[in-house]
Amino acid sequence: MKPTRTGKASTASKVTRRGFLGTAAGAVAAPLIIPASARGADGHVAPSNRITIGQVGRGIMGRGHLQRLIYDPKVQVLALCEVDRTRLKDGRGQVEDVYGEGQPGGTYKGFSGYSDFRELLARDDIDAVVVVTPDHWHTPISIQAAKAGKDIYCEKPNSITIQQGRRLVEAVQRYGRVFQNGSQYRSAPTIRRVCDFVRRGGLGKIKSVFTIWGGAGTPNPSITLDYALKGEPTPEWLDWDMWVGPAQGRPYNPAYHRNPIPGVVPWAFCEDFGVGASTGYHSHAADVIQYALGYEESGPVDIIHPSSGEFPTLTYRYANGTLFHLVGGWDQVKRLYHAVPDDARLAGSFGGLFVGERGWLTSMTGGGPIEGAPESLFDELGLPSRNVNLGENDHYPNWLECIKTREKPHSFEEIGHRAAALGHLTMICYKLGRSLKWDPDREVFLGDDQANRMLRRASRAPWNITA
Amino acid sequence: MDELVQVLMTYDWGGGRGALAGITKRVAQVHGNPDDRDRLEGQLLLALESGAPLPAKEFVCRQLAIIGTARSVPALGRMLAAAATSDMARMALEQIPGPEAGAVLREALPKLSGLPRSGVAASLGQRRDAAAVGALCELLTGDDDVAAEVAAQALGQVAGARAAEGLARAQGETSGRVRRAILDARLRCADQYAAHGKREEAQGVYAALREGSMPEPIREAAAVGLKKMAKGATS
Repeated sequence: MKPTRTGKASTASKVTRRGFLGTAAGAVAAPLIIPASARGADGHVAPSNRITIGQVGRGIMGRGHLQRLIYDPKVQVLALCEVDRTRLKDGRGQVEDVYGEGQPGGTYKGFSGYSDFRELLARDDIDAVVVVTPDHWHTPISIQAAKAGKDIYCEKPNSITIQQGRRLVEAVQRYGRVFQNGSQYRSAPTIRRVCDFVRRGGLGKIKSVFTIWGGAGTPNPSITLDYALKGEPTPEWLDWDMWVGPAQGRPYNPAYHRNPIPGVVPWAFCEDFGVGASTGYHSHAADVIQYALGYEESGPVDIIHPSSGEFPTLTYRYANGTLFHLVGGWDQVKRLYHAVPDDARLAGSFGGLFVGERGWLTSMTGGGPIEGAPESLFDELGLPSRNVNLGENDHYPNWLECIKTREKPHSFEEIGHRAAALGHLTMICYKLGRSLKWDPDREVFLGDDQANRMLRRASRAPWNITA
Repeated sequence: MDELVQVLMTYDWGGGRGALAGITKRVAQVHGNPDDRDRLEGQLLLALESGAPLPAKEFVCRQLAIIGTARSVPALGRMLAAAATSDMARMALEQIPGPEAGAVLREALPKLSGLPRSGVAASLGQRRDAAAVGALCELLTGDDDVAAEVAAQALGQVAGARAAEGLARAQGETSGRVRRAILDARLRCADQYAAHGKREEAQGVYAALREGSMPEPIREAAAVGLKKMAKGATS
């Protein structure tokens, strides 16, 4: 087991930015007249002490991020970048409505909109960025942000290939930035306590773990494809060339881009833009599970395809022998693996089921309370409640605090990379239809040239993803 | 011609993917069987050099990225000059092992302009092609800022003494994003020096990048590099 790192990111740029804001706040960032509450009279954080944020992307997830940020008294959102002008306009309204409250005339003038993220990153008065784009932009924008001296919160998965993820880790560390991967489930108190319990050996040695991968164990696993949808006229409000960015060029089709609400993001199923099941939920589950197993900075040594006959569904084997099975539905845990009693409820996602020498425990969200047996495990766990309330997670506060302390956040760059990498390994295994051996230290497949050639993908010119 | 490949050659935007699934399965199946791989590569090249629609050719390039050999390099090289096919060709050329792919990229670079030139420069960097350092250095101070920025990134990936020297020389003649990319590439060169035990060379570059005239993120990154080296020396 590798220990979690505790090293600090660097501190120098904070001083510079604060100094800048202290002298030029009215010109670029702060409200024109600073209300008493903003000056700290009500325990609020004065503008010069707020962390200034630029957000890139405002789709379904981006709206939620922005809403959370503009009500956080510790931050000031200065800018939003969005290649879809309708979304940019909506985002501007969202920010100005909230920041305009208490301002003369109810208007706020300290917000800027961009369609090119490089212009946002070039601003010296922005401390940190939140990256909430389609997956194929996560790594390039985060790397550029690190090089611009920004701290970063990046939606999961960090990358769309394993090599991209490694480059991101390198850039963040080279520039000493604070990076939080958007895997907030590990920061929900109940989930964290369950994971810590498992990690400390509360279940004894973990024999097997289970989580969901849509289509696992069926002839049609959920993998991304090289979709080539029919071209349609590009709307005048969309910079489609920038939306595609480093991915292979293709004509516009709204099915790549527009999000059905509620619903899944369609681009996630096109291999140039997303990572399918990993985009949706597996990267969250991978993060929670590898944290509990103590492999959050490493990975499995075997990815075992069901065609091998060894297990009925795709399975990872870790160096200590722990098996991590992907299932198409929770019923397969009982039906195919007989790992828990038939009356186990098993529901939810974004986590997994741990089966150890001393019993079993769940760590899913959205499926009701934590389950497990024997009941005595819960006495040891000491959960205040078995219910999982994701709203109690401290993922954002942890990131904001780490920006000030320069400590590593809960899900820093290496952890985020390894969670995403597990999804990429799964995808490569499914696409090749055979078991693979993986060296998690060197991040290469052993004895499989084809698989190694799937670790990376060329970018469309002029984009070039380098650390 | 293989029946699946014939169907593939009609694949266009919005078309059915049936043949594609069959070919990806076959690509996986030729693993460990050079004769089958050669036969499949030959079939894919027929599609690549046909009048098939661009999505079909792009799909072929994705497969050649996985199984392509030196045999595919000439056909891919002929696709580098056209903006419509250059990116897809590089998908395969970046992955194909052996000297042939690097050679065709190097030969193409001085003959290209615009985005295809930037793309080829990026691919040479991704391949860490030390033989391309001279040509990449020439781009740094040319009149194409986009190509200059990509060339700097590529030189950072290749690293080594010649790249480091070329970057340092060009630094004073550049500004804006190109200069920033050069500074970043110099950092990478220093990191590589440090990783290879060339402490004096690494310290020299880091020290230059710590100067007060440097952008704050660069100064900070140089400090990180120096700190990392000092930590390595004491551990």
